[in-house]
Amino acid sequence: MNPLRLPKGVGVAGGMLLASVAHAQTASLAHFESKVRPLFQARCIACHGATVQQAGLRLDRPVSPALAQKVRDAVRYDGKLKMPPSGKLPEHELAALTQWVNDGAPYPTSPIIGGQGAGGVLWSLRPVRRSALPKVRQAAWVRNPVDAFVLASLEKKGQKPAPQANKRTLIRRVTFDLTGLPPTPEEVAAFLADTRPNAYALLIERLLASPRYGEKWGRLWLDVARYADTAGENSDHPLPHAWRYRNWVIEAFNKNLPYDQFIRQQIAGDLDRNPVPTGYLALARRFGHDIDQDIHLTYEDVIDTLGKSVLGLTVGCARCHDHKFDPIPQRDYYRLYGIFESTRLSFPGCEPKQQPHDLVPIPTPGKHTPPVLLSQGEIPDGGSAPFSARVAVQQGDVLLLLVTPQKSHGADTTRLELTLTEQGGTHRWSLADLLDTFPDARVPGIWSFWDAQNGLLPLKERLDSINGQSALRGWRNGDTPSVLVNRAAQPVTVWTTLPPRSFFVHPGPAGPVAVAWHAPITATIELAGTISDAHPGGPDGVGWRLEHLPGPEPLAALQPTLLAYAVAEGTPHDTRLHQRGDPAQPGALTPRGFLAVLGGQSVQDPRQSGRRELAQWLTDPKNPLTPRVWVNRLWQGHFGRGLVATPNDFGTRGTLPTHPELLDWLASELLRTGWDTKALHRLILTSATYQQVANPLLPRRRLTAEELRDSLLALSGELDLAPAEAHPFPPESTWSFTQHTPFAAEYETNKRSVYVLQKRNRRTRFFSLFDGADPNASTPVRDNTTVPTQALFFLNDPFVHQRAKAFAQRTTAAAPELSARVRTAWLLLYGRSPAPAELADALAFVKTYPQPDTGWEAYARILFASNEFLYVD
Amino acid sequence: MSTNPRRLFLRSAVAGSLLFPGLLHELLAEAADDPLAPKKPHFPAKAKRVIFLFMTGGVSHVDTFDHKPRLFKDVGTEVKLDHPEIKNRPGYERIFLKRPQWEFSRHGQSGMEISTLFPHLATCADDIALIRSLHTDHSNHYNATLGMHTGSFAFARPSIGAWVSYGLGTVNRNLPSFVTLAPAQTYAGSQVYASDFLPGAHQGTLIQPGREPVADITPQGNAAQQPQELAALNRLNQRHLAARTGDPNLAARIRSFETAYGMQAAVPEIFDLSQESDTTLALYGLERGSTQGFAWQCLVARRMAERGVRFIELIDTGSSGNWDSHGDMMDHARLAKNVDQPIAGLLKDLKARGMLDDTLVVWTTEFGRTPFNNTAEAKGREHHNWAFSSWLAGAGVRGGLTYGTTDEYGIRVATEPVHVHDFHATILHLMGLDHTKLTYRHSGRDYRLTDVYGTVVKDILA
Repeated sequence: MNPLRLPKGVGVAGGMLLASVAHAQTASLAHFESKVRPLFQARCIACHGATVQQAGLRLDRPVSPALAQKVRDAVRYDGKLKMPPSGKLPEHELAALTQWVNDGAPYPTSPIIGGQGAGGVLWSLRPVRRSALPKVRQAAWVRNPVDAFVLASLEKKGQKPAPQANKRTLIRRVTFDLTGLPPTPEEVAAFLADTRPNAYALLIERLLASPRYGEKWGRLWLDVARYADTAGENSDHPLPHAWRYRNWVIEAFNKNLPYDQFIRQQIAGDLDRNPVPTGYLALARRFGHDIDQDIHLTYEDVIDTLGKSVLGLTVGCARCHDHKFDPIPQRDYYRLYGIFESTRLSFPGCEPKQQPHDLVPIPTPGKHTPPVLLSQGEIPDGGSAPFSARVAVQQGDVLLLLVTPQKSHGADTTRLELTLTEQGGTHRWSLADLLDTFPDARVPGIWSFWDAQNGLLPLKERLDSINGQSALRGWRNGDTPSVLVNRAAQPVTVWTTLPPRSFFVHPGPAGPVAVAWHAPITATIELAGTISDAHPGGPDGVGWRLEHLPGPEPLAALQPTLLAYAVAEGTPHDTRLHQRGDPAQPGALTPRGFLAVLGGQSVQDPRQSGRRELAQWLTDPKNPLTPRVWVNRLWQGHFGRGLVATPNDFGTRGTLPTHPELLDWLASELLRTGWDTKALHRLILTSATYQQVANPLLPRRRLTAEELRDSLLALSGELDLAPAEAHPFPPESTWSFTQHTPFAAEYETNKRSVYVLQKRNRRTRFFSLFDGADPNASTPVRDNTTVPTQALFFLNDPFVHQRAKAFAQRTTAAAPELSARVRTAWLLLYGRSPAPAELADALAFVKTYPQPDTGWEAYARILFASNEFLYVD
Repeated sequence: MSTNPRRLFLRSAVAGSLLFPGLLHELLAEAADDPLAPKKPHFPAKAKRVIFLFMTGGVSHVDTFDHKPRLFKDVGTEVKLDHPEIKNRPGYERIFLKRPQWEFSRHGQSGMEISTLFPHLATCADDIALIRSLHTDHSNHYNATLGMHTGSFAFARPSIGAWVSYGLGTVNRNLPSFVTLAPAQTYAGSQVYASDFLPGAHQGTLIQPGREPVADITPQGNAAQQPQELAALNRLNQRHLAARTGDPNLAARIRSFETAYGMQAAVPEIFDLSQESDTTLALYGLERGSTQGFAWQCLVARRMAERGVRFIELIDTGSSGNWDSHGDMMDHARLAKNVDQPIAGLLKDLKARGMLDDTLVVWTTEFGRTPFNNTAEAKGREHHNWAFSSWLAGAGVRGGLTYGTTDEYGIRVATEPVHVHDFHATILHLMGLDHTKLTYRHSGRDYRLTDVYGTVVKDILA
């Protein structure tokens, strides 16, 4: 039997089977998936699965029909072998198993690309094939290979292409398609006057070079990447640094960053000192009250978005069980899960933990004087060691004691005793002096405490009690790193017993915690201290390093000035599969790796999360999905509908490509050009196919929410084209968002819509009214609803009335005479002059308007509300 | 008649073919892709619409609808539970039963037990089917609120109102099919009335009591000129359409302006309570002229029901100042007072007008409150998702029935458990919709309100 049995009737291109046979196959597979696979999971896999294989039998993968019959006999309790030993199965389960055996024991599993049985492989997993251009009858129509494929398909159906659109239609269409804004009357006039044969190609070049291009097409990727400016947990914490990712995406399009690099940087840019693009991963939605409790759902969001956006596969469906329809076993999900669980995502804050942490410093080529190492050492688990130094300091210098984690990254609560004495003087400073005023000790300016995991970040979260113990005070970022004191005269027992009147530090998982002493005088300092493991029992102790940093303000250079909401390497490890998707039910350990259908590679370096390798696998030219999915999105961006109408789902439940050879030809062209997105735009836009008048393949389209808002602002002369940066969020130190009073601000701006605040839990009315992207999940296609509440927006919304007023003033100033003003307005909105009857209508309306001074403004609103403005031919 | 500007506009706009915007839905229904066109239910059902009353914050079941005599008697008894709200919570190492603050008595022919918090509602006992055995998956407001609205406790999914709108469409195209009346946003924000992956037409329209309850419904000082403006717009659009024959999107958008114009009259008319009699206002406990409070919401809900809105949700408060009485259970008195008479008034008003025969009224909350606390003297109660109470009334519902029980203290469901998914399945069933068949294909999967769960609670069907 062919082990690659797939539901052949479902979504398999070129299926040769008769419909009835295909139907029967589908039915038997459906039976297997709904009745038999769950039965195996529940009753058999514990002893006959990946972990344990009693009698050498595995039922977590295909078995031969002969073996299937033996299994059936055993469960019937017919012969000597009676299974399961705990008792006979209920009748309906026996019946289900019998039917499966009678069906020939079909057991779909993962096919391998290019492997045997290509006929059963999901179409989208077959290698990209660059077909020869088809022969066509109306060859003169063909301008480039796109046309050959499209025309061949039309001729097969006995159809002809639509006529070529006129130049006015073309410039409006291509300007909206590439920049999201209408062409200005001057641009229209220049294009009409340009009689050079390559005038249209030059127009495309001008538009592709415009910074407006990245703002339009970056938004398309932000849809797919579920970009938002809030975290989406119960109190919807703002993400003050997310904008850097948004702007990076826009810039990447403008710079025409090759698509493979575009993807690789989003998966692993931080490993090449470029963390901002990994906002793609960090922007995963957060869930619940304490987001660490539901972190498995956040990883699901990462995996689901990655699968849909880059591969067009609904990998997220394999969280609880093998994918019901596509060849993605549950194990594959957890192979990816391990990679992301080994990655540290920036923490946005949530109700019980308001302050963000693990923001990633953006490396800047800064200069600072290298520190002088005074002393260093290690203590073993439970150990203790004294240290001392003598050093001449200038006022403003810093002595920095770094306590570093060892191999067991979690490290330990570490007790520090430290005294500094002025040689020949009277000054003396000691950590013990801080106990009574802690956690305010850092205020005087002598002592400060730092998260030194990645540059130096202040410990920001103040603790006025720990585990309900008010004698314990501290500062921390996340759980660790932290500094804490026991102020009491008695020991306090928490996770360990903390001795009385003591000062402690705890390193972070990825690096040290640091205590800094800022020299208030110029003197020679005698330094003496002891470092002790205060929580024995871990596999190892900690290390320490004492450094002298010459001033003035030496720490300033070490503090990153720019932070990204991004990812960094965490603790590399493989994860256990969650049975039925429940993290409380760990199953088999799954080594980090890639989807079996795309090669099933495993992470080679156990000391890394595996993201660098994942980035390579995703963009391996042999992976047919990544280029197919991307060229399909480009096609969709220009034709309104992809060649595959389900751009996030190239699996069996998605739709088949309408033009499979064209899709593959475009994919091969993407690879041939070195993943050159703009080259693909050129190819598509210069085709005769794109230059037709509107037709079923190239439907008239409504402006998107962003295009509508931006156009209205552009028409009224109010659009601020300077790129926006951060939102004016309140300072982090003031945050106290709860599910009762979540973050819910709105910020007005005249910038382009791509820069407008996007909240997850309280969507802005305008964008949901006009089918904007859902920032909670990857949005592959925008809806195009037409509802009366949109008409009400045009009739009565203050935004429309204000834009119309400004537009009226602008056009009145430009053309005081009414007929000329009507012409100006039409050129601005429609890119054409009114016909005589249209002009007459306009004049009559304005002249007979009951309130003469607002007649022109009212006319402007009518133009704004018109179909000719809202739709692009 | 001919001086009526609205008529003038409609004549000029559609060449006399159409006189009443109320008929628009029939024309719109012709458009094959009209997502709101009325649809037949899966099977005949009495209920034509839903009024969904959501008490936000978590209503204590043991103080309202679930009488637990032993809880009065055994106050102070220590209990040991693996409860999500006390696990690893400092100060909650030990917990003790806490006495309800309100007495219960029997009401109606059925003898249904209801506490003194709801004296007005108690007079409707024989019309409601009380479920004392609801339970939900999460003890957090946000997740439980999302779950009660969408069947999903974490991910954004379409709201039950959007599902009903998707399943049945609507009969009055001058009004939205799904409306949420709330004084403020509650937990999970706009997700509680979102259409999510369902077509946007099924999204709930948020109506907040105040000057302009529906956004953009009031002309900006150009009301008198609007017919002339719309006629000019229509000429422009008709000319544009003539050169692009057969584009249904363009035609649909032209029609949407006619509907919008109709809405400008129809929507404010809903909020115009001047024609309501003093008797009616008194029934709800609404002061004439007031546009605030739950009484206003309930009366407006009845008016929407009369005018064919398919799914009307009323949320009593917002994400703060609600039933979340951690600090002092006595706050329940204020919240119950806000809703008790209005709800009773709504039920009686619907009944008097014969509308309770084809209107389903649902009363629920996101979870109950703990029958215990960390001291017996603690004034408040914590979140409790193991058991809580809700009720249904009206079309297709067996009035006077008390269904399901909790244990002696109201801690766990004892018999006939009803999960949120079962509750949803039952509501859909009462609307003539099979919850396993009301599906929508999204990213390769057929989604349902009830995910892969849900059983209709047959016993409460009339």
